[in-house]
Amino acid sequence: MLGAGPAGLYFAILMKRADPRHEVRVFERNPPDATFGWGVVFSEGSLDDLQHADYASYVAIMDAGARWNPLDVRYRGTTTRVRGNTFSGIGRRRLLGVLQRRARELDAELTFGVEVDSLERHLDADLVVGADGANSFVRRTLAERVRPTVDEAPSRYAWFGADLAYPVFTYIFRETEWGLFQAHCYPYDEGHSTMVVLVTADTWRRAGLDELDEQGSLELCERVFAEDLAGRRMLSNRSLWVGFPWVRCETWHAGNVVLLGDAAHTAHWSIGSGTRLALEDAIALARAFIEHDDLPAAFAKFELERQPVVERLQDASRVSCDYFQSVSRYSSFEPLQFAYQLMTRTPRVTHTNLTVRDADFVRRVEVDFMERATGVRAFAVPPPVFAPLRLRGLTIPNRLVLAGGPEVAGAGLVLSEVHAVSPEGRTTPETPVELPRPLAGGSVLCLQVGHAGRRGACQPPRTGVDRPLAAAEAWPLVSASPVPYAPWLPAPRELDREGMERVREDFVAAATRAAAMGHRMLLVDCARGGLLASFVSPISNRRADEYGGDLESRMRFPLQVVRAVRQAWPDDLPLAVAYSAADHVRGGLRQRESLAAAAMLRDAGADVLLVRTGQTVAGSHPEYGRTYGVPYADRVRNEAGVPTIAFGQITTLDEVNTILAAGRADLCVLDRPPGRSGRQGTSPGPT
Amino acid sequence: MRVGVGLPTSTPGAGRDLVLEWARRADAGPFSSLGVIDRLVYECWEPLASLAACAAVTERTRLVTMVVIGPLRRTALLAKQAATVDALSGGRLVLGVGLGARHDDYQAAGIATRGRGDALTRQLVDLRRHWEGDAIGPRPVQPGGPALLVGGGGSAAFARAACHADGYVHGGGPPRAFASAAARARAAWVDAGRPGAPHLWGQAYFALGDQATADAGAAYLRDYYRFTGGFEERIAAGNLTTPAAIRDLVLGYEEEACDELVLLPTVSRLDQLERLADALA
Repeated sequence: MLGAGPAGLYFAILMKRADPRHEVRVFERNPPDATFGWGVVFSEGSLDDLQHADYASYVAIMDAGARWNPLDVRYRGTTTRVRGNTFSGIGRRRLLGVLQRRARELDAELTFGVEVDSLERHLDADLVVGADGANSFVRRTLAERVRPTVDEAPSRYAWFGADLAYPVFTYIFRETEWGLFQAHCYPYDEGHSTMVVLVTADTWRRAGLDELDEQGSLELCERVFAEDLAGRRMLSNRSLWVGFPWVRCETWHAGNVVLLGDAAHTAHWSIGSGTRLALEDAIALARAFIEHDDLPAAFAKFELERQPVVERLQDASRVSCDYFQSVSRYSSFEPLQFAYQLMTRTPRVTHTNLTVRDADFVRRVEVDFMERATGVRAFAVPPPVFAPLRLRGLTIPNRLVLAGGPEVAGAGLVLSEVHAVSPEGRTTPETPVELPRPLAGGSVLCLQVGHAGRRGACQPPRTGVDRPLAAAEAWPLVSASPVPYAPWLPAPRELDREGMERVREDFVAAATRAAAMGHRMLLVDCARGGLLASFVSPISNRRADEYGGDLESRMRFPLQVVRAVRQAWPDDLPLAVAYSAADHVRGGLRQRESLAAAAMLRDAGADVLLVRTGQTVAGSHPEYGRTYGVPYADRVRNEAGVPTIAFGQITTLDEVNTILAAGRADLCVLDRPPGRSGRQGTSPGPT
Repeated sequence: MRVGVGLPTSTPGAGRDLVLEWARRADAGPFSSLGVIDRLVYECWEPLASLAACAAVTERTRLVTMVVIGPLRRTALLAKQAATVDALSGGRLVLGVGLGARHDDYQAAGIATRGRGDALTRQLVDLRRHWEGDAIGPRPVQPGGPALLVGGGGSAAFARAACHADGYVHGGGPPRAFASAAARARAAWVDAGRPGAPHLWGQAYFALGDQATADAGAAYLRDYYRFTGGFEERIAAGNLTTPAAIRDLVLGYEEEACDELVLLPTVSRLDQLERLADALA
């Protein structure tokens, strides 16, 4: 075992337990009582696995640690408590002490103070375990075979102690002249806590932390958190500011060497899982060796069991890290919603999970949400999806949005398919130009109108999209610039002034017709690579006139259309715009531009934005995954300050409630669940 | 959910008698499809030629490639081969295409790996165009040509399937892995604005019989996936070697709304078909 951290020591213990004849040697470069990192925390879930793996050390760890279930969020002078979580904490030195004693008791050989600078020397062992931490020497030595990727999070953090025990896990957010400081604090014994302080790179520089020494940065943090320390001191011990290293490896073993814990994979400390992952790795590897004598089979079993678990936690911790890095986005939130947002920062905790943990907390969040929506405060209310949304003079009965089709009853908003504002603006010959009637009943039909631009004159999408019509059936295409959407599609003509005039009039005419028919909500399509979208992206807009160039120029025509439609559309009814928040192409819209574009659309009269991404050119697509579009809607809503409709793999009402209550969007497009083909049982034959 | 079976064309000892008899028996029931996989630099048969032979000795099962490595083949010729197999089988071909995972296949074929994603996208678009009737015949029996599936793990594959094919074929794994891929394939489908839903296919390896059979299956998988440099053990460990494991997997895939699951053999023995049918009964 190279490295006597929790992973290495625990694996040593388990291997000696499995068979005392195993010869186990652990090498560690630090002295046995070195303490770097203060306390460690185990969050979410129990330590039952440790109980089964080795009862003696489990009892010793439990005796030496602290357990609590509430957590506090201190923000804007208010402390919000959320109950029902499971945390335990222990001093790192105590934890290592327990494990060292137990390992020695079982006759593992521990050698401290030896620098491991060569793997060669150890390779004659049957098994070599690299448990030497995030900066693993073993991993670096085997880089070609385990194929690691290591990158660094842009925020800075430092690991301090404090000579007071916070009553429970406490998140502290303090605004300073340099930006937001946050501390994640947890007690690990009767009189001490860990305080991990996190700031963005900008804040770090503005505060001068890049130039302060350890003592200086300690004193600065003490001043920032003075109120929270109540006269107590923060402690430092190699408390250096670093960016979190993300470590992933394609495989965790090479020959007779295997990596454990942080050496193989890191998970951001803000979900409190690093030590747990290390111990669970040790358990899984030891178990694999109980079942299999030969290394390849044991390694295969170990990786099969652990990689999915680790990947899920790494993904969640990445989301968590992103959240804490950009949390100042939510600085206008009320403390209760802020705490809710924090709790649901990763998809692992949803509205329902949180209700199970702390029903009263969620009730208060729901009551606040409904009060914001209706102005009426009640003791108990339905969940957020059933809160109405008032946009101008229209009240949408609830926050659920469904695409038009069968089974739309119950939706607050039903999205129509996109209707072309003119025959030349159709996507396919089947694209409707004639507007439908408004819906009878409770749902509001959001009538989408658009112009397909260079994606026009295609076949209906039954066998695929962007399949051009035969020349005889096609109509001429227009776009911002004469660049085709896909290499196999015909080049469009650059839209000239006269054409712009006509397109604007077509949009206005559609809006006027829709209003006359009694429609209550209209959406202008400025996404999906259509005509308006082609102006926004630098990929599709290469114009040299005042409609091309910088963002303001590229937005000029879409904004003219939106303003004209807004004028024609009744004042008391809302106007929505579908907009693409990211191109997903190199050289495409920058994030800063994307947010600026959202604000421009709002100023031009968009009351709400349907946030999409991709489809700038053929093959530009988002990274699909659960609720993949929500981070974009979140950013637009809370950084650009525009109400949003979230779109993108939202598949459950629980997700909808979570997104809404956390203030990530105002409405959510729900993808209907798939039909379960197999409900009648398996039929091996063709049907 | 329908359940199909793979052909023993990539397993050691594939031969004319075995493959044709395998196809005949699978066609006699209870399997919905016969699947083939593709690799150039390996002791295995060419998928479309294999399916052409099966077309001649079967009447019922669909014939599916899961998947042919598209960019290794000139599109016009692939369109013609596929249309021919479709004609020979009376309209039973399902063409799954993907990029494959091995550079050596591309090297051996003299095809650049760079840009192969775009090439595959273009290929999907062009296959349809050929099948719908340009100068390159024959016209496939199925109107508009065989169903097209796309394989591959990343968002580009999901987008490709959603924009230019009829469905997605998953590369194998536990039901949970299939579910996650299927959800993303559906999301891409919605994002692309396609009506209806994508066809979703799954696959898994099996070897049924005694310990020696399981060992032989594992040995084949280790050899076949040696190129992954470390993953072969995990793939071998996932081989389904008991009827209970097969039933669990089938139930799991069914729960995740898989449309068709193809179970691929890892040993070249006819008894595998019967054992599999028993396990599914």
